[in-house]
Amino acid sequence: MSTEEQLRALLQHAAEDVVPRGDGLAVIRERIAARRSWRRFLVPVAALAGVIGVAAAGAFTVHLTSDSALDSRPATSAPSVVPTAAPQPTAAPSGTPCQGAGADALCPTPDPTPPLPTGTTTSAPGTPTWPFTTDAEALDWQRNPAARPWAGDAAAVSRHLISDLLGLGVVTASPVQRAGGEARVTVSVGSRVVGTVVLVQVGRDGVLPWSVINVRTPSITTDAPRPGDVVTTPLTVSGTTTDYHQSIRVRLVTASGATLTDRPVMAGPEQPWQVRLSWTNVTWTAGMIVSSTRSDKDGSLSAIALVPVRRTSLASAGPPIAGASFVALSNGYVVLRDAVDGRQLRQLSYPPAGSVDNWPARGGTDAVVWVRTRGCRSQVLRTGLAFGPSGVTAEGTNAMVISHLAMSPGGATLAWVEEPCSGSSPGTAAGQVLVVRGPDASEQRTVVAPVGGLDVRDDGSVVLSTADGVSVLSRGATGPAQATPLATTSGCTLTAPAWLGVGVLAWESCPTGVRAVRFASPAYSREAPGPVVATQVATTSVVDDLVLVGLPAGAVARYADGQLQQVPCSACAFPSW
Amino acid sequence: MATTMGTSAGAAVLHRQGGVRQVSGATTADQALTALYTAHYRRLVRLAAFLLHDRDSAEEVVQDAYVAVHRHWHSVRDLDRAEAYLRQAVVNGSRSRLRHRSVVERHTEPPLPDTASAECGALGLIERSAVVQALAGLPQRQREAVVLRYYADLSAAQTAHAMGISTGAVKSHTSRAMSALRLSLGESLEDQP
Repeated sequence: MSTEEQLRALLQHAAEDVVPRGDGLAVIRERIAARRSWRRFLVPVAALAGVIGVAAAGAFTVHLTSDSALDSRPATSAPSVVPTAAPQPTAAPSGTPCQGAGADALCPTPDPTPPLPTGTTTSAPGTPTWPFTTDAEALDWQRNPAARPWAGDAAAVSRHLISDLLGLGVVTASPVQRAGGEARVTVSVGSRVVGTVVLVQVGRDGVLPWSVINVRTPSITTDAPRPGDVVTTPLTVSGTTTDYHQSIRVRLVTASGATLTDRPVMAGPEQPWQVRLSWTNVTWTAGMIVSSTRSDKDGSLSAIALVPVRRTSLASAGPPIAGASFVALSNGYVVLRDAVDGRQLRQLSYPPAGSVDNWPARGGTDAVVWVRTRGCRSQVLRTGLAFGPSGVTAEGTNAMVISHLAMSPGGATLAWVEEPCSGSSPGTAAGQVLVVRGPDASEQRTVVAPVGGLDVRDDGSVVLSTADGVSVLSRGATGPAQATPLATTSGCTLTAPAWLGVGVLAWESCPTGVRAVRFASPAYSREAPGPVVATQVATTSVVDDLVLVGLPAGAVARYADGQLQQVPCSACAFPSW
Repeated sequence: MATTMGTSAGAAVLHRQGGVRQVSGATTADQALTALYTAHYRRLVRLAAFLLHDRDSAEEVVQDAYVAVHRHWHSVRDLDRAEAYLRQAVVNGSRSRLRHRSVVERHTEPPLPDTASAECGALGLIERSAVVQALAGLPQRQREAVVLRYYADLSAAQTAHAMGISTGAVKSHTSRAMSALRLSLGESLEDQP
């Protein structure tokens, strides 16, 4: 390979670490819109100034040429100008993503946010929202239809939706138009059509109930979110209207009828509307964005649009909460998973061909780090769960590979193991160096025996397991000789340690079984071990006394009350809160 | 032969006609902006990041370039020319940023020592790639020449156009830059059989 080709490859590789924020097109459009707005204001002002100038010149000329002026010209006289109302600048388009750019607009693809699962299961098309979101709910109705007899009638479901669930007054529903498994019901107030409710039948066999998948009206269009989008707070809802200067009421309503947020927004035919919704309730799964207007004459419903949405299981605001979700390595990718049901919430890493991602760790408010190795070169990459900056955090020494990456709970300190690139599996070779970076941008390197597992505290103290057992290497210790070994029962071995506050939690493997042992600070005195658990533990992650362990064969479990509760997650390695 | 470059439904579709790419139908500046963003934005940000060593500044410079193309679309009206225009605007914008940065640094008090904060210690040092560091050590024109030639994959003539210099000067800058990079990157850039 020539030097030029190598340089090309190096540059391409380095470029992959530069990830644009994802809102570039929106920012550009905002700037263009702002400039248009400024020009709109400038042109009439310039025209007015020109008219004033011409008028002033004319008046001055007339004044100069008039006999009276020639006779008696006051030294300070100024031409009088009749004030004219200046044209008011019109409001600029808001320039939100995918708005105001015509039908050919493209939304920028956010990085890296693949679609999230909805958490609901249904065989119906679209996103059934109310009154049924899953086949299971439909089956319940089939068993006892008397509880909601109207659910078998699409027109009745439409009326109940608008009048009862949303409280928008009495409407009439037209005869149902059916096409395939879909029904369209036109709802009206008096003679005024306020929207078309689109419904689908939910369930698999027998008499199936109807459920709403959206409501459309020509006068209100919702551009974002799209039907079925998975949303999290805060949420920007945007759209357009054909009505003239209307106040649109925008609500987020759950499938159970609870209004989580309710905001008005002014809109006009040439001005896309946009409103930011936020909420604190995080117990709902299915909901709908309802946009409606009322008649100026009598306050009755004038138009309604409804977009079904789903909630992520992420935190109500900001990044996902540690303890409710965890990161892990799954099928070669770093992923974020739900801590209860194990479903994948987000894929965080996209290793290019030839690169291998490994050793994910989590810390700080939203940081996730992992090791990317390509041949004999390793990097520590990071991303923010709240879509923060991504990039290379640390570049490994040439011909040394990085393994056993750990991040302190506060995110202030990283620790990892470097070892010569020998072709053997990383984390097993001799000649390993423990690197502790942070806090305070400091870095400490200590030669250690082959490491089996480690964890780091914000102050830089490390607990690590080697073939000699588990020991604590306090901040400032210059070598293994200054490490504090943790006591173990004769015939047993300690593995998979993790910091538990200022103490340590490790797993003691004895002929009688495996059990958790706590070591209390400051002397790391051994406490009574927990009950025997069924299996070996490979890794341990602790946050706020919540313990998550990686088990052999890629299984994950929470450890509480002396028991392991398995989290559904197959092929998940290195789980970390 | 038509080459479709649109990436999703609703995108402006670019066709290659007689060697010149044009947006089908009556192209508005907004349509062109969207098409150009989709096709080039990420790559231009990375190019600018190599020149500036700072992603945020790189994005701002590239956004400036897109706003300028949108403003002058009536005179550009061709996507090949627009791409070249964008590249040149990014190079010029990056130079301007670097000039401004050097002036600011000359007149600014040295910053206080870093204080500890979450993630600052461990995560503050981003983009420590050896090649990025080596590029940062090159004189500005050499860095531009290398990035345009070997990252943007431009010919010497295209690089000369983007940099506003002669082809000979490009070759000279590139040659010197390669010598310097061989020294700083060592075995990473050794010729291999």
